[in-house]
This record gives sequence, structure tokens and C-alpha cells, in this order.
Amino acid sequence: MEKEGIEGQEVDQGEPEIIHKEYLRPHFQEIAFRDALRLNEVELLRSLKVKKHSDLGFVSTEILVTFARVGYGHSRKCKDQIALALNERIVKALGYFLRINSGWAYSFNVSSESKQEIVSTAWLGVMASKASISFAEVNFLTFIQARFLDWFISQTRLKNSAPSVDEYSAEDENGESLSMVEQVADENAKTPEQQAELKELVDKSQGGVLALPKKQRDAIYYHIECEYTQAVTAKHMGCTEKSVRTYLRLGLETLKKGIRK
Amino acid sequence: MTTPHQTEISVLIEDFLHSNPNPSRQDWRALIEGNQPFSDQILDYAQAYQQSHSMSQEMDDELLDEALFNVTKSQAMALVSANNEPLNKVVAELARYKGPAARDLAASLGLAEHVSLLNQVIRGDVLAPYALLKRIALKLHVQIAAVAQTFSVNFQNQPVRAFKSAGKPALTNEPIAWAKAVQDAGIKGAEAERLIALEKALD
Repeated sequence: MEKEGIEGQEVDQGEPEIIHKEYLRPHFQEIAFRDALRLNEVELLRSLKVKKHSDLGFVSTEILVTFARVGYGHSRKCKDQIALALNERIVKALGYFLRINSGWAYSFNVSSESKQEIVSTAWLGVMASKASISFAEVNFLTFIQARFLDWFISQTRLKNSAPSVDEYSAEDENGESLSMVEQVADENAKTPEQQAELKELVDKSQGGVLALPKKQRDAIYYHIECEYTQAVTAKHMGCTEKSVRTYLRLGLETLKKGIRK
Repeated sequence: MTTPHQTEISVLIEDFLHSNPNPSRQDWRALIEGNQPFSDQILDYAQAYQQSHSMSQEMDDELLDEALFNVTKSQAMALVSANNEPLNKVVAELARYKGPAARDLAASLGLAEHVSLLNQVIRGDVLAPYALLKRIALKLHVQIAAVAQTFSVNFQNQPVRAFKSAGKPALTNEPIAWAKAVQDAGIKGAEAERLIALEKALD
């Protein structure tokens, strides 16, 4: 669906490169877009009031994004109604996301201010791309889910920006540095029952895993989700197998207790 | 608040999700392994994505959080109404095609020698067919909706015309249809058919 080549523009060294990937509308969306452009002000305002996608005249969210991105509308009133219709869809999408991922709101303590911030982040995401046709204009649901996840990921990074136990070290009898994790008593590799228990906990945690410290989270992801051995997990994480086992054990204990702020 | 950078990593993930709407663990694993420089960020995302339930359903019946909607609506309206950049870009690009250059533009858009049709479209007097809007957008490297909006604004900004008529003057408050404009221009036969067919074309 996407065109070859990425249009990019350079930014200061060290800053993330801003990229505006171009997409193509699928045929059915292009027909709907063509028809939406033909609507006069009265017709467009009437269509914006249609709430159900199965009802005649419904304007898809992808088209609303297109209109919002260019400030389209026959009048100020029309532009405002487009903004409000899109805002309603974003707010509903967030409500839906939090409802189907109910554990997340608990794990991350999502307050009304947080929700406001998530909606705001989503809006800025909608307007950020300079591409002629952005990802949000061809696949809104996946786009908006990605923006919601961005917020949750930013929260986990914020949490993990505090010094972690991995930062603390002591010297062994040979004068070599040992991380605190390395000093925790090792336990033997997990039994299949423990492995299954951890897998079940991860599946049930509904976002709880994301609230774990990064090393524990990564160890669980590589070992449980990617089904890597502890040796391969250690290689990916740049630590020892013993550390991987410790991270897995700590993660398991935390998940068992439930994530507490 | 997170900064919504369209970075290489977010594009990589969007692209991945676009081609894999329901990625499996193996798909994520392949993405991580194939993009080692970004593996840490992809890992964060893969974890979050796999932990979340996919938003693949329509949300028609989802209850609206009125309070959240109300506190966020002013930002939404401000972002949309203050967004003049796409239109300014269209205006600037169109300004490059004055005089003889307009003829070349008309020809390159498939309008042959009918530059007057293009001028009427740009003024907003004539409702441009979608295919023509798309061709203009591609030519000027701008968004299609921005082109349509520019023509609409041009139409609204036209001074009210004076009439010298014995009969009752009629003001058009809507652009005229493309087919009528082709007809009014005296274009006939196969050429008229070709131009009118633009109305249904997607290009």
C-alpha cells in the first residue's frame, strides 16, 4: 500500500530524524474520499452528525483526519464540526481501548488528567505528519492504538528513568565490578511448571508486565513471548544467564503480588 | 507529554503494522531481529502491543466520555482552524503558474489547450473533478484536500459581481458543475466526453 521511498528531512544531530512516510488510500477509501470532497457545506455538516458507520452519509475517521490535517471545511463552522467529530472519535477510541485493556488503567493509574494528555498526544500525532497521505489516513484504528501505546510506553520509560538496581554495583574479592543483580542468590533454571506459571501470569497481567522495571520486562518478553532460551535472552540483553534468571524471578514475584505503585 | 515525532522507528512500526495488521509473536521477533539498532525501542512497542487487545472493532456503541470530550475540544478546534500551512503551500505553488506557465500546467494536467477551464477551477467557479484535484496535488506536491480547500476559499473570496442586466440578476452561491463548464466552454464530441469522464475517474 505504501509508496517506495521515504521523504525525510534532516534535523539537528542527536535529534530523532523526522520522517514523513507516504501511503496510498485503498480503493474503497479513495471512492469515499472523492465523494466527501463533493459535499457542499450543508451536506457535509449533515454527514458529520451521522454517528454510526453503517448509516448512510457516515464520514470515515480516516477522511476526518485528512480534513483536519489540511484545515478543510467550507466555513469556520464546518472546520469546527470536523474537529469535534474527530475529537469524539478519539475520545471514544480511548474509552474503548481502556475498556478492553482494563488492567492498564489500574497498572498505570490513568487519571482524568492522564486521559486528557493521551487525547492531546493523539491529536498532535494526527497533525504531526507532513506526508501527503499519512498512516492515520489509511488505518486510523491501528494508528490511534499506536499513539495510545506511545503514551503508556512513555510512562514506563519515565518509571524506569529512576536509578534501577542494575545501576548499583559492588566489587568482588578480585576487585571486579558486580551488579547488584549479579549478587542476588542464583536459583536454578525454572521448572516447566514455573515456566507455565510465568506464561499464564504474563497473559493475565493485562498491562501489568509493562509496569515492571525494564530489565525484568525485557527478560520476560524475550524468554516467554519470543521463547528464547535463557542463554539467548542473556545475549540479547547483554547480561549473564544468572541475571536473566534473577530478572525472571523478580518479575514473577512482582506479577504474583500484583503491581503496586 | 510525549513528543509525537514521526521518527524512523515509528514509521518502521507503522509500516510493519500496515502490512501485518495482526502480527504474531514470530512477526515481532523477526522485526526485532531484523532491526537490531532499534531493537530496544521495538521491544518496548512489541511488549505494549502484545499486551493490549487489538482495536479492530468499530466503536459506534462506545459511550462517549462527555467530560473528557469537553475538556479536549478547544484544543481540537484550535489545531484544525489554525492549520493554514497546507493551504499556504498550495497558494505559493499555484503562484508559479501564471501566464504562459498556466498553459503548460493545463496541458500537463491533461486539459490540453483548455487553460480557461483550469483558471475557472482555480478561481473556484467550477467544481473540480476529483481526478483533476489529484493531478494538481501530485504536480504541486501538496495534499488533495488542501487543493480543494484552496479553490473553495478562492470562490468565497471573490468580490460580489455587479450586473448590467434588464432581467433579474442571479448570483451563484455554489460553483458550477464540471460537466456544465465543459459544455459552456463550447467543447464538443470526443474531447468533451474525455473531459467529463474525469468526474468519475480516480486516476
